[in-house]
Amino acid sequence: MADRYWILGTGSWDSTTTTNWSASSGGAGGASVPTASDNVFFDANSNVLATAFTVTMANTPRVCNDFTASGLDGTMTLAGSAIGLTVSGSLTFQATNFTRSYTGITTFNATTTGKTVTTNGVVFGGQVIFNGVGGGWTLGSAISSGNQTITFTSGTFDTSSSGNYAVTAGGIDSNTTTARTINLNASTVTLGGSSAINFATSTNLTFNAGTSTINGSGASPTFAGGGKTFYNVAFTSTALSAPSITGANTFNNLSITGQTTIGIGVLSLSANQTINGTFTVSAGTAAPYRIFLASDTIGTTRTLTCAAVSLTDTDFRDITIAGAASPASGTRLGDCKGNSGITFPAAKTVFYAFTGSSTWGSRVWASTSGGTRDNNQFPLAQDTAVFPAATYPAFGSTVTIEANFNIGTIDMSLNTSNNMTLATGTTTPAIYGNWINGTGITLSGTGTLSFAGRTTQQITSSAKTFTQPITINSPSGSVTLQDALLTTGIATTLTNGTLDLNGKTLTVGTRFTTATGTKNLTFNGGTLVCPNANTTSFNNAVPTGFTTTAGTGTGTISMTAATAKTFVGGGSTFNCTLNQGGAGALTITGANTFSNITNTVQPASVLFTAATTSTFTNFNLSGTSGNLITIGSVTAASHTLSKASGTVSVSFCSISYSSATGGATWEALTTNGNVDGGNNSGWIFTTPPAPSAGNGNFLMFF
Amino acid sequence: MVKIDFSFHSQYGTFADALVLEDDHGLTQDEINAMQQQRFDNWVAIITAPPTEETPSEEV
Repeated sequence: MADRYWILGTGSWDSTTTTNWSASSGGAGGASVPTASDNVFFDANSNVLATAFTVTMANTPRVCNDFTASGLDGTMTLAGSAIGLTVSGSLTFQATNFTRSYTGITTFNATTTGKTVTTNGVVFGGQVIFNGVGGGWTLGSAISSGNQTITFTSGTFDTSSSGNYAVTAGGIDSNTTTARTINLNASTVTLGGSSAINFATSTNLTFNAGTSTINGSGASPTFAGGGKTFYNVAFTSTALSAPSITGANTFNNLSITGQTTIGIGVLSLSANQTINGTFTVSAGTAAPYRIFLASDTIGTTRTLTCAAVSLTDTDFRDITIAGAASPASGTRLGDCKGNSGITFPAAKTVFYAFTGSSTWGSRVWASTSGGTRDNNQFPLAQDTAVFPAATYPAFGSTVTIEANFNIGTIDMSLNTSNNMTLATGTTTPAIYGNWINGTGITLSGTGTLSFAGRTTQQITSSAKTFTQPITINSPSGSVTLQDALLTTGIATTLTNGTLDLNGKTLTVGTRFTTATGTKNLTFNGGTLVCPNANTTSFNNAVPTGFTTTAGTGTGTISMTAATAKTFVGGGSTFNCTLNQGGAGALTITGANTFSNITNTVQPASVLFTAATTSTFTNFNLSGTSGNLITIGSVTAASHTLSKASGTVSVSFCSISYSSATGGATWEALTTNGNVDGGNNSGWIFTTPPAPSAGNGNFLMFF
Repeated sequence: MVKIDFSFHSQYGTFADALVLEDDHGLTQDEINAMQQQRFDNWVAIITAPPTEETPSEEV
C-alpha cells in the first residue's frame, strides 16, 4: 500500500500517465498510477498556486484504496465521461473547493469493516454500488446519487447511528442472494425513481430499518419490500400514478400523501401487508383527487392488518382491512368490490348539475336534480350518476371522463332530446354499476371501458354506438345486455365473469377476445356478431376457464366479414351456432365443439385446420345452385368432422380434405349439387344402387 | 478535521447531514449556516424534482 498525491493541477488520471502523481504532497511527479491498494490524496499542493483544476479520469474504472480530497485551496473538479471509480477503502470529498462532474458508477468494494463515506454534499452522478464481502461502510455525511440507484450487493452499509444521515437516490436495490446488511438507523431515505425499493430477492439480506423514514417521491414507485420489516414508509408524490407494493412486508406507519392532481393514483398490492402503526391516505384537494388501493389481481384479496387507519378519498378493490382498525371507515371511500373490514358510505344518487360542458371530476354534481353543485357529491364507485333531462347539460355539451375513475351507475336515460356527448378520450374508467345510455347521447373515446361490478350489471345502449373497447372483468359477476350493443372499439374482451347477451345482438369492433380469467359467454338466444376481417376476428386467446352457455333459445356467433376472417376457437365447447355470415372465407382453428354450424351467405368457404377434429351436434352448411359452400382445410391435409349420431345431409357443397366421422351418416350426395373435391373420407357422395329383381343378384334360401 | 452534524426538519422529512471541514477551515458561522442551508436546499430540489419516468400506457 502506497500513498499517491495529485500534483500540477489539471491532468489526466488514466491507467498510464504518471505526470500528476507524487509519492508525497507537493513532491516530484512520476510516481506510479495508484492501484486499488493505494491511497490517493488531493490537497493544497495538488494545484498550481490556488487555481482551479480538473482531474479527468479515463480508462474506467479508476481505482484506489482511500480517496481523500481535503485541504484543497482551489476548486478541484473530478471529471470523466461515463467513468467508473472504484474505492477499496474510505472516501472523503471536501466540503468546499470540490466538485464532481464525472458520470459513471462509483463502487465501494472494501472487504474489511471500518470504512467511511463522506461526500460532504457532493452528489454522485451515476449509480453507487456497495459490493465487498466482509466490507463495512458507515456514512460520514448524507449521501446522494440524485435519481440514480444505490445498490447493496454485499457487505454492511450503515447510515450512522449517531448521525442518522440522509440517503437520497433514485432507488435502493438489493436484489441478490449474497450476505449483506443495511442499517438505516433513524435516517430519512428519499427515493425518487420508479424502482424505489428492490428487495425482490431478499435472501441473506439483513435489513435493519431502525426508526427510519423511507419516502418514495416518484409518481409510480415500485416498493418491492421482499417481506422485510420497515419503519415509516410514505408515498409522497401528490400526483401518484401507478405505485405498487410487492412482498408481504411489515411497516410501522404506511402513508400516502393527499393528491393535488385530479384523477386517481392506483396503488397495487401483490401481497398482504402489516401496519403496526397507522395506515394513512390523506385527503386530496377534493373528492376527485383520489387514491385507488387495489389488489394486483382482480378477485384476489389482499389483507392489510392495521392497528389504526386514517383514510380519505380512497377507492378499494379486493382489500380486507384486518386488525384493530377493522372495520375501517373514512371519508368518501369508494367500494370497487371484493372488500371486507371496511365501512363504506351508503350508495347515493347524484345529479349532473352544470349547464355546460365539463369534466367528470369537476364540481358538477349535486345531491338533487338541479341542486347546488358540491365537490363532495363526486360520484363514488357505489353511487349512481344521473344526467337529468333539460338543461343539465345543455344541448350540444360534452362531459369528459378525464381520468380512470371508478364509476358506479351512469344513467343517461333521461337524456333523450338535449343531445350531449359523453367522452372518455384515452382514459380507462372502470364501471361497477349499470351503464344506461339515453337516446340523445353520443359516446366517444378510445380507452377501454371495464365492467367490474362483481354482481349483476346491465348495459343499455339505446341504439348508441360505443366507440370504446369493452372489457368484462367481473369475477363471479355478470354483465347483461338490455338491448343490442354495437361497439366500434378495438376489442371486446371477456376476462372474468359472465357476458349475457340476453337474447340481444352484440356487434364487436375489431375482435372479440378472451383473456386470463374465469369467463362465460351466455347467449339466451343472443347473437355475437364479429364483422371484422382479420386473423383473430373471434379470438378465444385464453380458452382456459372459458365456457359458453346456451341458455334459453339458440345462440349464434356470426362471422360476417366479406373478406377472410378467422374463428380462433381455442378448443372450447361452443353451445351455440357458428354461422358463416359473410362472403369471406371463414377459417376455424382449434379442436372445437359446436352445437351447430350454418351459413347465411353463399358462395363461401369454411376451412378447418388440418389434423384437428371439430365436433358438432348439428351440421347445416349448404349452398345453392351455382353458389357452393366450400368445405376444406386451410392446408392440403385432412381435417376431421365428427358428429355422434343421426344424418348430416348437405347440399351444394364442394368438399375436400375432409374426414367425416363420429357415428353419424355424412351425406353429400352429388345429386344434391355437392362436389367431391377429393381427399375425403366418411362422406357419402353417391347413393348405392338400389337392389332390383332384374339383375338377378340374389340368393334365396328356404 | 471537524465534523458538524446538522439536520433540517421539513414536510419532506428530516434531512440529516454533516459538514466535514478542515480544522482550520476559517469559515464564519454564517458561512457554515449558509452551507448547511445550501445542502438542505439541494436535497429538496432533488426530491421534489418532477419525475421523469413515463406514465403507464393506456390499456387497449
